[in-house]
Amino acid sequence: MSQILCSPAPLTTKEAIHELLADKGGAEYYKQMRQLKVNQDALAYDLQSTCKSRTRTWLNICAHCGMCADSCFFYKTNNNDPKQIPSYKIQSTLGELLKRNGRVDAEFMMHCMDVAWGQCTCCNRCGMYCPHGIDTGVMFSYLRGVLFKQGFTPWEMKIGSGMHRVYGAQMDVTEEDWVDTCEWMADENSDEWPGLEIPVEKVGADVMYICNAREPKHYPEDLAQAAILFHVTGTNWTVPRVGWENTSLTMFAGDFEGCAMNIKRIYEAVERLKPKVVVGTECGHAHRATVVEGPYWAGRESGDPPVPFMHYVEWVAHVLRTGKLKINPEKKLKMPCTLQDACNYVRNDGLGRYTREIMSYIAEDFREMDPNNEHNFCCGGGGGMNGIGRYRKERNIGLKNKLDQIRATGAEMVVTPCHNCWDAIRDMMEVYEEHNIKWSFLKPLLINMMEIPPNIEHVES
Amino acid sequence: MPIITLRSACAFCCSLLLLVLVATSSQSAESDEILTVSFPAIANPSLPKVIFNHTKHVNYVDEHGSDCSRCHRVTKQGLSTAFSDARLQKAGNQVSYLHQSCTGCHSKSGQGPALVQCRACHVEAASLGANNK
Amino acid sequence: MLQTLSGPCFVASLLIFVVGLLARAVWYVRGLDWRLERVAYAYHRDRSVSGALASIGKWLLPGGTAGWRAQPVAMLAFFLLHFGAVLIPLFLLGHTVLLEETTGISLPSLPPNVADILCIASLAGLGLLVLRRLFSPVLRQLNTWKDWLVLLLTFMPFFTGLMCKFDANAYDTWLLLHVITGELFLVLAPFTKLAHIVLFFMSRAQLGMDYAIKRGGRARGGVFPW
Repeated sequence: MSQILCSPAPLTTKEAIHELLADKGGAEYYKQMRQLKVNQDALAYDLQSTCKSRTRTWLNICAHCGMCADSCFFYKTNNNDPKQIPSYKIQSTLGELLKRNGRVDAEFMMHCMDVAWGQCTCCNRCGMYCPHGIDTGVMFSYLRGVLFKQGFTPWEMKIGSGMHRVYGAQMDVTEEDWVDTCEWMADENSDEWPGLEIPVEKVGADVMYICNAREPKHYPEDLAQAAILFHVTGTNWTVPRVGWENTSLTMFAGDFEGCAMNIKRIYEAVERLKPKVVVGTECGHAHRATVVEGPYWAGRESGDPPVPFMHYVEWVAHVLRTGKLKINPEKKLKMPCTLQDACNYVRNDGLGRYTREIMSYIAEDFREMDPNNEHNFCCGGGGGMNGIGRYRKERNIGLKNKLDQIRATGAEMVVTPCHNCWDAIRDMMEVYEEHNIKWSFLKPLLINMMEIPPNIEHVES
Repeated sequence: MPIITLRSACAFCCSLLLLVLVATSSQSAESDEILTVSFPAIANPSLPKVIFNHTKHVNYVDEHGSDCSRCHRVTKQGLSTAFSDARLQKAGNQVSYLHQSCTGCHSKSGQGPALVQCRACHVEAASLGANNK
Repeated sequence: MLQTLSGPCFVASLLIFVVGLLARAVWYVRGLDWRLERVAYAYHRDRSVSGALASIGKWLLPGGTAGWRAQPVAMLAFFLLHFGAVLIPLFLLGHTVLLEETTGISLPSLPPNVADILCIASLAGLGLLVLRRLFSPVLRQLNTWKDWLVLLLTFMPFFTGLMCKFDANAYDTWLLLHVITGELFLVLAPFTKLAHIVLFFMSRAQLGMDYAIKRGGRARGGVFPW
């Protein structure tokens, strides 16, 4: 291959995405990265203008007390390898970068990349265990931004960022594909659920639903299930034609300009359709990107989205609580169940009480993991790690931590309302050959156990 | 001359004063008068009372052309036993007044303990001699 | 020499300490940027103030957070050291007298026995921290000369201060060392990791606000379950 695959410029055309996709596993991409020239002046300028007192103070006052070590699942699963201590990881990368004021070479930048994506999932757990309140996950997220601007981004993340810029979604799902999938899923299920609709671009609906591109692309039944649940609960809902995708691989990639483009597309859809509330699918980072960080990328000074945004678990807890969705007690989960707390909306948005509320409706034998809720461990695949081939070995080692946690509960089912966690749990069962534990999103579970109200027509298939 | 009269009066009073004060203090080597500051009386003192070498102070005052009135007020009852105006200070201020007066003079004269040297003056009677050079 | 060291030098080092730390606090706050950190500092006062206070307060209590409870030995060492490190410099009798005479600020003072116990506890805490630094594989990976400097700067005033009391024969020598090392601590604090004397509060408040304003304050309220 002779074309330039690795450069600081983000991908902005379909062709560029396809060229990079054609480089299997990014072999040539990483080879070129090693030769990449670090623009030291630009790097120094970026550090000067964006690395301010908070981050510098964090790096400065770190007492090297080591209390963060045990909080990190990579440290634990790598036999307490001192190189996996969060403090060490950040001091030896971002700390060093600042000390040298950007006078570094490609080799050092690749080392930073390997640590920022291969040894940290930005789960923010260590920040809870630091007496000085140093949030290393936040710093790694910042470091990813610095690296992205210089072109040192893992292959899959670079592609992901390009997808968002070109397709407005994390995968190559065009507006046409999306609308077709909505129609198809409504048709496919209308025999069983007469009157089922997936209303696209309906102005003034109560709920605007947004989702992860994987759903229309790889398992469209998820979209159908969302539609059925809205239908059964009598929700007046819609999906936007543009701005329907709420994930943000740009966030994982450190492409913060791309993040702003994503969020603006979604907020524009809110402006067009004027829903009372926006509900996002069972995805952790989509929620983080759209609801928690998103308002800031959109320049909103209050830090709040333009209308209330709900994660799917908030909406489910709401319809269960208000009785719009009723569970058939006979069909509640009988086997021992546990719950995966996704870092991005539990630790980082406080929604753990809603998932627990849901569990009280759907499971007879619910067992907490230890630790849980805000103190949960990352599934092992967060922060983009699931998707990066270069760090597959590192990820698989880390997965062991969550598997041990799950096994310790004795649960046979892990309720997992997050795409990333769901993937990680699927993979850990395969990697560690655990065949007796199941895992599931909420939607299929709810559909199996809900009571169908008399006014809703249902034809058993 | 009035000055001479005053001086001899002072000397007389001082000897009387000594009799009163020395009773409570232990006599160290030679014939120096080692006195304990007993005013103000503090109920539960955190540190031992101040013990000082009165002879040295008298000698210093003498050599520098001053007299007892440098440290003692003459009242109708005679020469005050307490240091200077200590009795006139508000109750809460007496210790501070003594700290300032003693160490202020030490500082000016370049002799004697500084304020930080708490235990140069606040010494146990038993360990006397070690510090009160 | 002691006159100068405990007079003008003391005032100067106290000034450097106070002004230096204040400057660091001001620099910290001025460097905050709601766009870069993505925290709407000026909004949601209803929960941001409690968020900041909880983030500080819970970490000031022994066993107040999951982090402390997870590491009892480290916790013990930190608190042993810090009780004395905060109380003795401010409230030891000799210090209060010196402070009052030089600056006019009058503080209550500790009973001498309590001060002695605190001082010995602090030295014990320091000893534990030194042992941790020497023998824990985690700390050995992280140690730098700066960490040892901070321990040394902290150890010296405690040690020399205690010796003033217990080695009366060399009182003047210990005192001189105590004044010098104490002032060295004051002078260097704003320029070393000792600046955490104020920056601990800034950093904790910031993260508390981050969680209270942005990361979950809406659902959880201001108090994050540290």
